Formats: sequence, structure tokens, C-alpha cells
Amino acid sequence: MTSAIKLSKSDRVFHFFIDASLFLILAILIIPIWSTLTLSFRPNDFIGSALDGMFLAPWKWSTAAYRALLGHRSFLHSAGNSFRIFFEGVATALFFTVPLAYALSIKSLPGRRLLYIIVLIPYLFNPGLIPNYLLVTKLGLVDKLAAVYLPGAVSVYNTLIMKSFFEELPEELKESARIDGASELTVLLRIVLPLSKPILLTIGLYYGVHFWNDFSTPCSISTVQSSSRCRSYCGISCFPRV
Amino acid sequence: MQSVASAKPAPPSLRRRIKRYKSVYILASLSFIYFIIFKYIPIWNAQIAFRDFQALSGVVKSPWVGLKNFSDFVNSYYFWELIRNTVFYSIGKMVFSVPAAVFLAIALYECRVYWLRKTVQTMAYLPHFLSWVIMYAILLAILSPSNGILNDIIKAFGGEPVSFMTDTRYFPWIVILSDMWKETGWSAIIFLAALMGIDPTLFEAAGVEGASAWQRVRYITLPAIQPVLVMVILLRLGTVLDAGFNQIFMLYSLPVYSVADIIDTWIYRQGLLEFRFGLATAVGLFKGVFGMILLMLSNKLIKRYTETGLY
Repeated sequence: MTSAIKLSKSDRVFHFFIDASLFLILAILIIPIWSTLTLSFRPNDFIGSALDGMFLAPWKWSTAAYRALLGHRSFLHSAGNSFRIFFEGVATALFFTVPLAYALSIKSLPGRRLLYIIVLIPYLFNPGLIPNYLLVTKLGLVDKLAAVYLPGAVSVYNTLIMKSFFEELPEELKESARIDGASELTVLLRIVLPLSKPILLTIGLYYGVHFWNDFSTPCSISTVQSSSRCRSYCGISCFPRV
Repeated sequence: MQSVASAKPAPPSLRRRIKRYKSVYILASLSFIYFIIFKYIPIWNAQIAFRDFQALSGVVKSPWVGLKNFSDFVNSYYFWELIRNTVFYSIGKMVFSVPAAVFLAIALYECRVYWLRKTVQTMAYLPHFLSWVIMYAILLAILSPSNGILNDIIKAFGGEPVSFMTDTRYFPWIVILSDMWKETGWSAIIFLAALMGIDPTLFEAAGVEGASAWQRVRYITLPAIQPVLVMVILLRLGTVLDAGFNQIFMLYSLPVYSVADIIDTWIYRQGLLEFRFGLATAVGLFKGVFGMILLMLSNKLIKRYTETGLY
């Protein structure tokens, strides 16, 4: 009986191998982050190598870099722009994605097939940077924050994920609401959306990460018409190279 | 029997269905207008690839030049360089990241030490949420010739500091390995999900038969991952022309252009920095058309293999 529970020698080697690799992976993941973190807390009068800096005792850390950053007007401006792009971007993206995904999920909707093709073509064929840039200039959006999030707001991929979530919702729920006299709008607002919180959060997170991390769009829009306002939200990404 | 069949309601007429979904149409029409403006007008604008674009004349009034922009691109010396770099980075990242993600998923699945599993999992997801701007700062903390850790170690052993980021020998490795560091954890999720779906009775049966842990991985775990693995590889091959614009755009500099420049970064520089809109659009169109063909091909293969395509 005991032999069945006790691990064989080869199994112990296996688990040692797995645990050791995970420790190694953990070290590879932590060291770069730790070195960057300690670098940011390094006092101005610090003498020694970067390796010494990594092992600097926490009570010798200094917040001088952070205080300098918060006192920097252009940083505060950039951070404000980043937050605005984040919130306005996610709100705009969900505003356009949810109805589209919902319409595509209704099997009996006349014209659904056509709508699907219209959504799919831009997913398959991307004309590239310059035609988009021309559109932004034509709409007079250059130097406006909307130019950063509006052209790329709706991701077809995310729309299709949301559509398949809506399709999974039990049809009976919607049907029973309709029998009780609910309009299609009520079905969407009172039945579908409350049940879709997980997918709204997930897709919202995807969009949020995209907008928060996007620096090439602000950069590409502000290079040509480099007004001070535009450059400031590009500030973080265009910091001087070492 | 017949009466039951006839009691079935006839499908509502087209007009009634349209009327019923009126509010859905109104809501979706906003998204429809968005698509026309922001997805279809750029496709219309792409015609400047066939024109000698002049900003004052605009899109439709610039003179036609036929395929001149395309032949300029194909005959230029950088054509093969761009294609080579783009494909090299896509395939290189796949070769390193996909096996790493499979290994990580299996290791996390097999690990019996709870805190270790949870810590590695969280730490591995984290870098996906960092932007390449932050990644650049992290890479500098390690690779900078003046105060990077790696160069500190080289100096401690009496070597000369190396300027990794501007050296054509090291730059491709920095791109591939930094992408691996950032994305492996995130790409492991899909494999981990496939592992969670394995029927536990398979492992019980293997245990009764006296299979070792290695054999379990070889004959149960790996076959369970295989369909997902094929799908991931096909998907990556479908987007082989997207080699990671944000990453290269952030990391590269003039000394490494010859090994770093991919189609997207080249379009950016030619179009927005040197105002050669027609040429840059032609290259974008070239990429768009081949990208579409590859994507449709990979979707067809995925459909054949797993019976569920992307679209």
C-alpha cells in the first residue's frame, strides 16, 4: 500500500526538475524588475556599481527621483493625457463594440451576414499607417487626444470574442423576457448586459492595456504637426536615449 | 400528429423581424458609421499607392503613376533586407516563445508547491502589461554600457563594457529574448487552459498502470496540448508580417537599422518623417495584401484542423 503513495525515484527527479526550473524562471522574471526598481530608489550621491545598487538596504533608499518627477510640469501633463486617453478610449471602444457584437450575435437579425462581412474586411485587410494618418488630418483631429484613441478604438478581434460570449447566453432567458412584452432594447439592457459583466470587464481590460501602453500612435500623430500640446503626451515615450 | 405540426408558428415575415429589431439597428448603426469612417475611408485612401501624392492636391486629385511606387520598392536595395528582418523576427520569436510557453504551462501544471506555482504564475503574467517604453528602461538597467548589471559583471571580470543595444551582433537577440521575457507567461495561459481540460481519469489510469511522471507528460499532457499548439503556430504564421512595431520602434537606433528595420518601422520613417506618402502607402498595401492572404490561409488550415476557425 505504501509503495503506491511513495514517489518512485524517477518521479522525485521529475518533481525536482520542475521545481528547480520554476525557481530559475522566477529569478529570471524578478531580477530585471528588481534592478529597475532599486535603480529608481537610488540616492543621488550613490557611489558603486549597479550590482551594489541592487543590494542597497531599503532604509538607505531615496525618493528623490519620484519627488523630482512629480514636480515636473510636463510629466504631470503627460500623465493627465495618459489617463484621459485611457478612460475616454475604453469608454469609446466599448460604446461602439457592445452594440455591434450584440447585433452580430442575433441569429435571426436580417442583414446580419452583410454586417459580418463589413466588420470582417478591415480585420483581414489593413491598409496601413499612412491612409489612416491622412484620415486623421482630413478630420481635423491632429493635435487632439481623440486622434490617439478614435481611429483604433474598435478591435474586430475583441468584437468577435464578445459576439461569441453573447451567443453562449441561453436563448430561453431572452425569449421569456420577450414573451413578457420586453422590447429588444430592454432585453439588451436588462437581460444581456447584466449577465455580461465578465466579458465587459475582460474586453475593457484588453482595451485598457492597449490604450495605456500605446505610445506609437501619439508619436506618429505628433511628429508632423509638433505642437507643444501634442508633444507633451508623447513626452514619456520620446525621452532622450542614453 | 398533424395538428401538432401545424400549430408550430410560421417564421415571422422579414418586415416584422426588421421592425422587431429596430432598436438593435439604431444602436448598431452608430458602430456601422464608425466602421465606414475609420476603417473604410483609409482603404479608399490607400489608392495613393498608385498616385504621386501631393498634400495640396489631396487623395483624388494627385496624378496617377501606375505601379511606379511598387516597382521603386521592389527594386530598391532595402526590399530584401526588410522582408528578411520582418520574417526573421516573427519566426525567431515564435521559435523561442512558443516552446517556452508550453514548458512553462506544463511546469505550472505539474508543480505541487502551491506558493511557488502561484508566485511564478503572477510574475509571469505581469510583464505582458508593461509597455515597451518601460521595457526599454528595464533593458537599459541591465544592458547599459555605463551602469547596466551585465556590463558591471563583465567589468568585474576585467572585460571591456559592451554597448549591446547599438551592436548589430547583439540587437536581434535582445529583440527576441526581451519579447520572450515579456510574453511567455501570457502565451502560456492558452496552454494551461488546455491542460485544465484533461480528463483526470487518464492520470489515474496511468498511475494504476505504473507510468512514471515523465511518461505521463509524454503520453497524456503533450498530446492534450497538441491541437492548441497547432492553432497557435498557424495563427502566428498568419501574422508573420507583423514583427512587433512597438518593440522595434522603441529599441532600435541608427547604428542597428540594417538588422532592426522591419516593414512597419520603415513605413513609419518613410511616410511620416520623410513625407514619401505614396511610397510608404505602396509598401503598406503590399504588406496588407500579403497579410490578408496569409491570414485567410491560416484560418482555412485552422478550420480544417480544429473545426473552429477564427471567423
